[in-house]
Amino acid sequence: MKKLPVIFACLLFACQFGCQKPSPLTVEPPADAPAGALEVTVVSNPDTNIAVSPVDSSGLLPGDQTQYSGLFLVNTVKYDNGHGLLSVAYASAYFGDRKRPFVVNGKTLGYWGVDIMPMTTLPLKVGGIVMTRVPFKIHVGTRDTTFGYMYRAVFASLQPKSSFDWDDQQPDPIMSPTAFHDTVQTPEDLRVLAPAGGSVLSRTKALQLRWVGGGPIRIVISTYNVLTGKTRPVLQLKPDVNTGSAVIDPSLLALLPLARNYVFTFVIANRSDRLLGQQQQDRTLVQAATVYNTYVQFQ
Amino acid sequence: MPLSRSVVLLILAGMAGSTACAQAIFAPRASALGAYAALVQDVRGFTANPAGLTGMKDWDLYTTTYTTTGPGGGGFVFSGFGIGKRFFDNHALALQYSPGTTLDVVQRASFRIAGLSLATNRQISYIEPLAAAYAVRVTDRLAFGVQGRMQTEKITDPQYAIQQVTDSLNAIVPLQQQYSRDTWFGDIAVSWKPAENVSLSALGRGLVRSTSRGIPSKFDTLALTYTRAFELAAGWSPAPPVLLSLQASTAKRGALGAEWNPVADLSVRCGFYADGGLPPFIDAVGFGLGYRYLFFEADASYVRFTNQSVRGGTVASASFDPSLIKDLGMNPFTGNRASVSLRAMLGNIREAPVRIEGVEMLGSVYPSAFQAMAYRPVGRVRVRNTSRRPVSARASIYVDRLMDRPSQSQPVSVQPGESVDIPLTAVFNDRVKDVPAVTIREATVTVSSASEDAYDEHAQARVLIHGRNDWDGTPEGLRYFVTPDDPDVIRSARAIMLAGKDSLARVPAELGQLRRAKLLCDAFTGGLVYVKDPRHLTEFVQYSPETLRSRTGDCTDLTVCFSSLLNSIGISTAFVDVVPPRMPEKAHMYLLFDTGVSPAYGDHVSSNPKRYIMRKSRSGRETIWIPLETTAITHGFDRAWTDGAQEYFDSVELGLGLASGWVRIVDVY
Amino acid sequence: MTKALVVAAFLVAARAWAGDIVVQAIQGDVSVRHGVTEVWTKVAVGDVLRPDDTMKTGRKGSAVIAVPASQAGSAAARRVVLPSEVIVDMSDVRDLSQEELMLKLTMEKVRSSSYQWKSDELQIPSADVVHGADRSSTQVLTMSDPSTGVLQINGARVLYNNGFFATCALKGMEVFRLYPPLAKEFRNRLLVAEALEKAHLRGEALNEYSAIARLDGITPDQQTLVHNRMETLRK
Repeated sequence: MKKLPVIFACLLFACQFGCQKPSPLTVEPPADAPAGALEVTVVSNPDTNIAVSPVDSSGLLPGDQTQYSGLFLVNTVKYDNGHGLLSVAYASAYFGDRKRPFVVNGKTLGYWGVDIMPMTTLPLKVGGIVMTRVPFKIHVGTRDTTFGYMYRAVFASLQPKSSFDWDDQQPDPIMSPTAFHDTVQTPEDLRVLAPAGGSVLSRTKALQLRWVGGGPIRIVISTYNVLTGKTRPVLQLKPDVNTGSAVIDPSLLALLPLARNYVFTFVIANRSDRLLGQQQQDRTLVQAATVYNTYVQFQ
Repeated sequence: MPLSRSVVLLILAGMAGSTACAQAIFAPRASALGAYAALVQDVRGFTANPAGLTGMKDWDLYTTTYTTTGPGGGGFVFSGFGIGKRFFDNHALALQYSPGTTLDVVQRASFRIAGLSLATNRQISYIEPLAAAYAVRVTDRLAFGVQGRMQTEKITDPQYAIQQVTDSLNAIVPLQQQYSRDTWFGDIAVSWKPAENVSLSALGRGLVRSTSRGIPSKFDTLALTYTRAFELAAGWSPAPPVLLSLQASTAKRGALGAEWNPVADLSVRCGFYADGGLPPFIDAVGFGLGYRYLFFEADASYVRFTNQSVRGGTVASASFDPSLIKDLGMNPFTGNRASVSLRAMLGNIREAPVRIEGVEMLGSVYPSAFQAMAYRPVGRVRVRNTSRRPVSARASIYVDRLMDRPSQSQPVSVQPGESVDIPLTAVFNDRVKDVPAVTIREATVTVSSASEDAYDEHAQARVLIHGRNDWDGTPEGLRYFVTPDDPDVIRSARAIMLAGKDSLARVPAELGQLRRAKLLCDAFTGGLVYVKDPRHLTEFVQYSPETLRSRTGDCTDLTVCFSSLLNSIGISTAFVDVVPPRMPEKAHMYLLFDTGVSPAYGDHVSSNPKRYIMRKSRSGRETIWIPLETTAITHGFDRAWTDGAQEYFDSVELGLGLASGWVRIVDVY
Repeated sequence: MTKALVVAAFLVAARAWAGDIVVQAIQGDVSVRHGVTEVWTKVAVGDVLRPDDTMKTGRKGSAVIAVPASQAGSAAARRVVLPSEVIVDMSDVRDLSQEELMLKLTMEKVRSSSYQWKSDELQIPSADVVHGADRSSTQVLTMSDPSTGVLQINGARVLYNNGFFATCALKGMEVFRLYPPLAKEFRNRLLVAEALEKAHLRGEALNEYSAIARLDGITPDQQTLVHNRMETLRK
């Protein structure tokens, strides 16, 4: 009996070890930037030989453009450089024939723009508006080379949340044996409050983003060449929930190259893709997007 | 500026600080009581007051574990362990390893990297893993302690880089950066017990600080604030089973605690924590139990905080302010905590209910009288019963090499709180007789309250041991120089008897002793030289063999020698010590020996009754004793007798010396 | 002869006043024994006696000594007549205070310090019986000649008659120890008792009377005398 307390004490002694680790104190980020609510993706740059539309005008990453054979876009694009806001609304349609690449010096620079409106009596329409067939040009060296067709329509403006029908009665039989129709709805209007165009930002401090406009939003951060106007996307941020604000951690800002000029491209897009051609790679992206570009500088 | 003054100024300047990084709650006893600093007496929670380490008995081992109850809590966490050792009676060292004294913070990031499962959260750890302390007991009631505490801040900051995987494919790769910084704090503490039931303590926390570099300035908002603080604490036991404690700090924190022992070895505790800086005023309440069995002591406690708003394990970034963290164990983010600990006392841990208050040696030791030391106290020790029960105390004394083992006293009963004097008697061995000259030796006095060999406490005392020939000047002390059983004495006496056997045969038996004495004395006729003692601090007396060898000596040497010789042949003797009043320098000593003849036959001894004395012999009957002036023995027995008788008559009969006390007769054998 | 005695006495009277015991007159056999010697020598008139001297008178001897005032305990020197057949110690021809007498009587009783000292201190039991008696000799001692004791008792009586009660009692008790048969005589014991009484030692006197009453051979008259003395002392 006398040994029992000693045994108990020894057991208690042994139990002092091999225990859990203390639970940490979790500090949640501010409510307007919930933890893990922002998905960050580094933008891959696909074969840059292939001409793509810049993200600030199309709202599409180069990778998005190269993976689709056809792009049917209805975009409202705004440009805010701090000296005024420029707004452009347009629709464009392009379908590249992958069997007809445009190769220069062994590099594929693009694909033949298929005439998806061979008969003017059966025009390609978007929103009831007949699109204008324009040459599809590929920039080679210092010149543009026409290689097929694409279609455009310019609007004074696009009403948000409006439906636009794509109607093609007679597409290229090779591209598509049947006519196609697709409806896409324009997203809400988008207005970016922060960062303001023309502002100078710090890389070491968290960057607050604020906007007005609901829907699935993405923010693409791209370097911007003031001289050439070319953009090169670096990061894409996707909030899980469009709350109208997001915070970019300085650790993310540290990923950005040490360029001075950047454009933050806010994109709210409604998208769908469909198979339009015979081949699997003939997928077509149908998008209606509002794109807001804020041109800023980093210290 | 002198060093001492600059140190004082440094401390005073430091005390102007407003907040402090206080000690972490490590021990359940501490967390239950709240106000613990004045009650530290072992390795448990010694960082509250390192001066309390002097209360350890020997080895102290301690481990503790805790769990956080409520939201955010997990299983039991190993809080740490401590180890302490007392050495050289008044010094103590302790070391504490407390990995569980930590506050881990995870700052969740607002983003995630697509396609990757790596963590994007920042992790911050505040740990107080080490503490080391040293304490010294200056007096029975005052102790000082110093300690060093280590605090570590670690920040794991996730960082990223874009890495080109292929020409067209980029990927985000993590570059986790870890930063770490150690800070050492130095504390000074003092404990004082003005009374048995009152204890006071003062602690200067963080008086000195040393911080390593390692965390970039961009994380300064995550750093803990370090400032110095001064803490005062008091403990009071109004009655034996109750203990109250109070503590206050310049960091606007305080506590009040109470402990009650309803039965032996069981403790019930509670405490209240107050924070004058942040509402509510009563910050937390603690409860606890303690139980002791043999050399184990188990404690358990539960601390509940009154404000639970940010104690759920998750806080908003706006509510997380590291500057509010003054104590890693108790801060605005600490959850309700239950702790359990176990302490083991090893080594010489026996309770010492008996304490030595003082040792007094009663005079010095004369080797000639060493046997008497076995029965006559050589000193005394005052002991005090510091326990709450009556004890039976024994004392022992030991002088190295001069004693074979410690001489133990009889047991003496001592009531609680009582002090008694225990006489010390010493059994010396024969080596004490070889001490050539006066010397001072260390005697170890020990007291114990049990029958086993372990002792409660020991003390050192100095014993003055005289040379073997030193004499304390008293006739009683001179008796110890008489050695009738010494082989040289026996051999000499019997040789003389053998030589005079013919004359012995011619006398009646009743006169045999007288004749033998005469033979003995006549054998030295012309063979003795009176020599004064050497100049010495004390009187010098030769042992009989020494006198027989040298055939010289003064009156005491010769008196001792002849007394030994006469005793060795069965004749009783007595010393006559004469110290004339107002002339002590004329002190003299001579001998009486018992003829064994009844006074009724006195004529056979002498026709002049003034030549002898009638006194009781050892057998109780009155016999005739003859005075001998030993310094005259060299002139023959008759001369010695005549001189002795004359001296006796003059001093005793005429001078009434015996009646007045300046003549003393001391029997030897 | 008598004239010569007177002249001699006158001549030495002055010397007696100077503080010495002086032999003022002698007649017949008078001798003195000096100090602790054993030899009696003839004494002459005018001899100065020391306190450690002893004077003896023969059958037809007598002497007169002058005791100085300091020794006599009186204001003036005293003449002490020693009749025949007495032995008187000069040291006894003096007054003892009551305190001195008590001390001496006490020392008489406490004759030795305890033999138990060593045994007590060392708690060593000692043998009650010690073997080793010498039976080798066949000679037997005889007791001291009581005639010397008689002379000493006579000397004690001289002391009593001259008022030296204390020394008389002490001398008597000493004689009784040396010559036990003399202690059995009523007259001798009565002398000591009376001396004690005269020395104002009532308790000691009572004890002595009580011991006398127990003597063998005491007559009824002597018994009555003793009892009356005892009754008187008890009052």
